[in-house]
Amino acid sequence: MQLSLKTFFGTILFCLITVSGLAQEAEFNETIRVGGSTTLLPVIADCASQYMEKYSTWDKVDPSLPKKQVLIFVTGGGSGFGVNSAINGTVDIGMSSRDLKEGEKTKLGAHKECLVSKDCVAFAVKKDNPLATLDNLTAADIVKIYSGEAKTYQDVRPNLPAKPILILMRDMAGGSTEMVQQLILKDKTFSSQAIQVPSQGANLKKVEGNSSAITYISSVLALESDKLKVFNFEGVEPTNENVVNGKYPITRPLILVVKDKPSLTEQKFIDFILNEGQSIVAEHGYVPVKKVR
Amino acid sequence: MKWDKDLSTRHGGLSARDRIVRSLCLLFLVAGVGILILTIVYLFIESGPGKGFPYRVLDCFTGEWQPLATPPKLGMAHAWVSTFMITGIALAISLPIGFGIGLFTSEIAPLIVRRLLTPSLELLAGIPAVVYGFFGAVTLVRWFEKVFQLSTGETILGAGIVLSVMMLPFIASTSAEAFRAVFREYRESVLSLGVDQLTMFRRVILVRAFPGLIAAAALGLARGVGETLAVLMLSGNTTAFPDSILSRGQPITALLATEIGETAVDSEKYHMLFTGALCLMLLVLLLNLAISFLKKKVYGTLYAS
Amino acid sequence: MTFRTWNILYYFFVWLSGLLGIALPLGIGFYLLLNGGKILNIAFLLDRPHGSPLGSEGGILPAILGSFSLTAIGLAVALPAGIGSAVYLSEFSCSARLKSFARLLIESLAGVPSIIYGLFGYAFFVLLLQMGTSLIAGSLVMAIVMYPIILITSQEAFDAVSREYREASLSLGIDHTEWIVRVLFVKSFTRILAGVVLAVGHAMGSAAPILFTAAVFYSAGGIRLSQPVMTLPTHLYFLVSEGVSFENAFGTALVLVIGLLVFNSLAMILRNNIKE
Repeated sequence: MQLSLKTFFGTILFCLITVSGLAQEAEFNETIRVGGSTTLLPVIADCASQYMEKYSTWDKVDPSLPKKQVLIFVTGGGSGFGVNSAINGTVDIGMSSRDLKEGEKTKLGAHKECLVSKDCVAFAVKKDNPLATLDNLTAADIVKIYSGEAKTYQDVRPNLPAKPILILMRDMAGGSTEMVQQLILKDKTFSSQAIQVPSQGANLKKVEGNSSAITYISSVLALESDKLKVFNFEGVEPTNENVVNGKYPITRPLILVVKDKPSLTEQKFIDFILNEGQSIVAEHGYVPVKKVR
Repeated sequence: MKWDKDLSTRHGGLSARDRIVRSLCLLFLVAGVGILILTIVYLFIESGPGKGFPYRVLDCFTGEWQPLATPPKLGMAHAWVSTFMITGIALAISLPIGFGIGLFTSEIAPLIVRRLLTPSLELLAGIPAVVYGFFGAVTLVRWFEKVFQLSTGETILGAGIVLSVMMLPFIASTSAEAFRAVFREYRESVLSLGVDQLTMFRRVILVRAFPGLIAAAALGLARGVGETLAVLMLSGNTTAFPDSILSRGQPITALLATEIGETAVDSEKYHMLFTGALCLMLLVLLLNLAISFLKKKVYGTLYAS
Repeated sequence: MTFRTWNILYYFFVWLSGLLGIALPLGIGFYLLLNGGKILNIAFLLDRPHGSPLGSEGGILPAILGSFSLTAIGLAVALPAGIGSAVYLSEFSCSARLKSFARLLIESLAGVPSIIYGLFGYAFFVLLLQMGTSLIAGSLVMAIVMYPIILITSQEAFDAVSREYREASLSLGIDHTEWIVRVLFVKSFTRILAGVVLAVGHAMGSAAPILFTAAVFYSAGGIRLSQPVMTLPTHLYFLVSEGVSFENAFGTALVLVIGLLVFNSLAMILRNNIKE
């Protein structure tokens, strides 16, 4: 096949023209980037998808906005990633499943936090795990397990079989990891034998498929699954009621963080999440924000 | 070529158009090489050069990884050990098989089989790392859990096996090149002496192709330490020091990929991650330089024909 | 005689390796085909991700578009740079030392793990130059990954053009540019194209460099330079690591592998059609 030189250069030219055609920069930014907590990820991604289907262009959201396509990008990465990215501008709205640390607040400067919901961190195992015979775990139990002191289930309770414990944890970027470290482990560190999972979704899949594993996971996800035994912590059940009345010790806010002031488009999307979007929040099993404010 | 040089250094040798084109091409070259060098330099900058740098490098290779402790411990010893264990296993599997395939393609295979083998190896080389990781996750991981009665199937061994499959086509083709060159030179003379195949191989081919085989091994090593996605999905993210091939580990590439997203710019952890990245890059660069020199020894020129 | 047994073993081992080399890719290919073929249909290729969690239903169109545009723009940068650099090294450089040195440098840098370039891209393009996670940042990283491969294959292609053409053209008194454009490019075209296709195949399958520079978990499908994109390899990674859907993961993997297979076959056909 003899390809002429003209075709070759023509193709190059075509590519370049396509590129410049794609590079339509508008002063008005029609995109919103959201990223962070993998707990909030499915909810906000759902909200984004429905928002984009409901309003195809920004002028339908608010007549003062130009007729540009509504584009919302959602990604995971963990609360640490979400806050960090909000600080350095990689995302417009950061999702976090824990409170902001002092250092982060300083780096953010002026910012806005919007509470979307609250949930709690529950401990769960697969139903055929030896630990599933128990109903309640104490803080001491958790420290023993997660610091690596207890190597087998027998070390936790002498009547359990000597099956080795597989510790699952969210990786360092996870909001739940920070909470467990601060509130329960305190001075001790996570056992280095723990497997770090990259998201709550992966967490769920892993613990559902493994009879030696124990994990801490968003209570909503745990309770929805029919394969898991979810424990009470210090005598309190990890239900939404106990989140609302504050009885469960490891509750955390699920928040959206925006640096400076949210732009009009960002504010509109946040308003959606806090109002009509609350039905989506409730569908996923989380407490609507009205109840926890 | 001598006349080339004469042509372009004489003032009348290059037309004005030529001079423009030459400058343009030089620009491209400088820009391209410049960006590549910028990568190294920028990595170095982001690793925080200064007083702490040598200590950080030492710590990188020897310390523990406990970023949430107070004060945070940021050593990556476990990661380097994991990387070399996984790559070691992968090389142990893929080197013999790869050399075997190399021998096969260069000498022993009949033409039809050779025609089948080449596209097959290219298919193997063309499958992206993510797909290998995915493949390993749905096959090896589950299989290991059953067979070895492990609490979870992600192991260094599993990652090593998948990595060996990924390395195989490269080792096979590099060693095939080496074997082909040597066979061409020696086959007639050796066989005419009445020597059998195996002795020819052992006494003549292996010896002569040795630098090329080392190059193949170095190539496999370089690819192995640099592989990210597949080992990320298969070795089980733990910060523990791996104590056996059935334990979990976290190679340096997986560590970098996992931690970079949530690390605040200019924090201690950020500097340490980039120090690790810099060391990895320099390691691979050195390996590649070694490969080039070894190839030169086998072929006589710096690049194979 | 043990002598003969050893020879038999030698042949046996070598044949076994060879057959393994054929069986392994075919096995993997069939496994993917079997499991991914179930989910592959036109809807899968042309729809956006749907379902809850997102990605468990619907299709992968945004990922296909994203992969394509990322590689196309990366190529638009890397191709002229790579070919231009190769032209300089092969036609205009006077010192052989410079040529070997540059070649050595580029070859070494071609082997650097793609995650290193991804980290560089994140620190430099996304953060320092404030491009954010965007198509442009990802494309630039892709270009960096593809540039060495294109340069090396182009240079080898140029060197393979036989001396007679070079001497004949220059003896006719045409200048370098004319010779390059009218003869050199034409003669080395298929080899260069094969190299480009290989570079593209390699870049399209790599997820590590774009995880932090261009990729998102979900996008509606719009393609703009300043916006992030979904890509096939990152989509596969997310589907697996978030535990969303293994069937869709198989489908995505199959699309990716078939796409790359097509590319590689193109390269092979081109190479076999090389006219001297």
